[in-house]
Amino acid sequence: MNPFAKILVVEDESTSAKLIIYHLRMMGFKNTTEVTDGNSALEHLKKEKADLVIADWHMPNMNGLNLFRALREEELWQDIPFL
Amino acid sequence: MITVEKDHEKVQEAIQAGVRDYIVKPINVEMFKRKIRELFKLNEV
Repeated sequence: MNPFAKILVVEDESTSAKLIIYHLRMMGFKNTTEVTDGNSALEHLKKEKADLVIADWHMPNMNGLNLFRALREEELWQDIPFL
Repeated sequence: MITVEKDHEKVQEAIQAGVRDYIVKPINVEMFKRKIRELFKLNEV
C-alpha cells in the first residue's frame, strides 16, 4: 500500500470521522482529508483527486449513495475506489 | 459505504446502484482494515 495515497473521508459525525482517520493513520496512511457531506466531497475532488473515498450513508445535503452516483457519472472520478 | 446495521434496505439499494464495498457501524476495526487493504490491492494504489 502506498502510504502517501490520498484518502477522502466523508462523514458528518465527528467521532466516527476521527476514529476512521485514527485507524488509517495507524495503518500508515499520512494523507487523509475529512469533509462532512457529499457536496463538500465533490468540491474537494474538483481541486484534488483522491485515491480512495470512504463515505457514510447518512449525511446532510448529499448522502453517501448520491455521492457514489455523482462519482460514477463523472469520467474523472468513476475509477476512484469507494468504501 | 458506511451504514448502520439496521439499514438492510439501504444496503440493497446501494448494491443495486453499484456499491461493491460497505461496512457497518459500529465499525469493526479489523473488518475496516481488511476492506481498506483489499481495495488498495484490487486497485493497485
